[in-house]
Amino acid sequence: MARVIEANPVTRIEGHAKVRIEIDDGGKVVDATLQVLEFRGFEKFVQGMQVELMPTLTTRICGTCPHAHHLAAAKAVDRVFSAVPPRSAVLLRELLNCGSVIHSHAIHFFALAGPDLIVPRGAPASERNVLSLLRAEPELVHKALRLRSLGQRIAELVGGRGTHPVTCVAGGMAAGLDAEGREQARRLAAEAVTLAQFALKAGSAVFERQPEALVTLPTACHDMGTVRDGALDLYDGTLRVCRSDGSVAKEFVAEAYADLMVEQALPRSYAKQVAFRDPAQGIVSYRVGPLARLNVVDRIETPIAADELGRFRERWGRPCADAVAGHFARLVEIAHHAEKAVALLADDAIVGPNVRTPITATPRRGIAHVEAPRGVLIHDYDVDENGLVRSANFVVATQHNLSAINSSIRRAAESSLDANDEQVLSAVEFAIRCYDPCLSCSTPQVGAMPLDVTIARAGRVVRQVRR
Amino acid sequence: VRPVNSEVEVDLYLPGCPPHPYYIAQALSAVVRGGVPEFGAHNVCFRCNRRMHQSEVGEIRSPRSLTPADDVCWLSQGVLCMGSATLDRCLAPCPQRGVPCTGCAGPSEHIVLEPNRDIRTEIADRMSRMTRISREAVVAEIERRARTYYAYALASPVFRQKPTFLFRRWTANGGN
Repeated sequence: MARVIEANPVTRIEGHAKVRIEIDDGGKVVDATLQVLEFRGFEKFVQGMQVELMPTLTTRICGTCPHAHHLAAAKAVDRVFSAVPPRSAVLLRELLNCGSVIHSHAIHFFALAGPDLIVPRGAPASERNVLSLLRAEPELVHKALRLRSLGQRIAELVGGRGTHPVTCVAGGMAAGLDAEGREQARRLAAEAVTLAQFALKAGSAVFERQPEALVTLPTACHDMGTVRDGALDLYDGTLRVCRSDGSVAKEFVAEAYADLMVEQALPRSYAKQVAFRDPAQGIVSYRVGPLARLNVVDRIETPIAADELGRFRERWGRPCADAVAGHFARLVEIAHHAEKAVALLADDAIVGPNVRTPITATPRRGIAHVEAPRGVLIHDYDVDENGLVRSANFVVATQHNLSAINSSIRRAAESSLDANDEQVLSAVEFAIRCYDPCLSCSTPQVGAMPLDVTIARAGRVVRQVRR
Repeated sequence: VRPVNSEVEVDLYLPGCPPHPYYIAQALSAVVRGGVPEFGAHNVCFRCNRRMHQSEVGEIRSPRSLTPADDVCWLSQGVLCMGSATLDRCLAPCPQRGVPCTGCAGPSEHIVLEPNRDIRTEIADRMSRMTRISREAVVAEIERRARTYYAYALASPVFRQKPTFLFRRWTANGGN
């Protein structure tokens, strides 16, 4: 029988959204979409502001990865003023990014996705939350939250504030790191390496305990991620897009994004969806984030994470199309960033006194990108001769991923349609969380996300589930 | 988009963007004890350890075009800092890490309560006393860049009701 299932709101994601699944008379899923309900509007209200304010102001787009917006805006503003930051400043920004990735990935793996992965399948929804996880696995939860906190504290030492960092400015950093700060960060980073190894073990145990529960969401599409000379890098590099057969479709600099990415407004959602123009295959959907990054990189340059990348590829293949593997990719990236933080802090230039290049140039348009924990983040500012923002464009991870998320929702819905509402909701939410979507960020132009699943038959709503 | 207080009755506001964990812990422990959280009467300057002093600076300067001293009040150096007009909900990390306050926590108590005080007049009064920059020059500069200096206050009904808040007039000529 045809029906519409709606989940509203989707829980344990960053933001507010609902899901609508439409099924025809033959019991076939004809449409499955994630609808983003938040509206943020940053692109509009930054118009007319001084562009130097952007690194501070755009952190407010999101409390989960403000560091990524801070860094993307700072890099774009460097370009607005044609200023190349001194090496010490670049090291500090990279360290800030390490803290950010550790913080964001740790909270997602354990607090948001953890209840899906670690609480046994079939447990009632009321048991599927971080509190029951805490009762079942207290050591794991404590260590995971500690790991998150280490990342956040490293970011605070460099960024000046925990949640919304402020120190990255046009041309570099407003403040450097002193010897005492370096020593504190060193201790935090060393502990993070230890806990990251623990997290990898815990993640492996999850996989070994219920592998059949995990390998469920093959979603073949292109992958986009940043590489620096072929290696994984979340702060700087070129954007590489690989096809689902592993071949490279294109490698390009962020400035060229407008020619290669197509933004589309969506019906019933505040988010804009983005597609990629493959020179050989035309307009295609693609994925960004931890899984996409591990699919496109040639290597990782820190030893523990490099080993783990090898194991990851043995287990999941390369490229891996299974959205579920994204959770494990996240753990590999935590290890890499903990190791990288240690390496950055071992370099004496991290406490170098010269952290800012003076600004003299006339402002012009500036485009830059970083890899936010959830994937490629582009900031693009067009400015007038006084440095006031004429127009701004933000392309965020969840926008790139929307089409892949919808494919995974569809697959999850198809495989669970015979089940009761609660199980459909669980399966659909599980699929969505593989992408760790952040809806505050995906709606800078118009848009957010609570879960609401609607099932429609021939356009008529026959079933609606919300929480 | 509607403010949360148009949908549900709000018992208590904890301002800050976001409030520092110190203030969150303080508020929670006050509520647990059945009391009311302390609402800060201080501005950001109260927590900042830069020294205010009289300077000979004669014009407003952008922090990007100078090498700022790291222990002297931003206003003394001719740089617009919102600290004196902003509620302390943060323990003042920004001005002490090389970044003038941008006012993210919203206006301090005396600016909210006093009809004729405003962000620009408060800062202009202080800056004109500490430098050779005139009060009028500071007011004019803030009005000229109103979207930047009122970035975090624009949504506040407190400002819209103030007779001195002429945002539409300041921004009428496009730009800023």
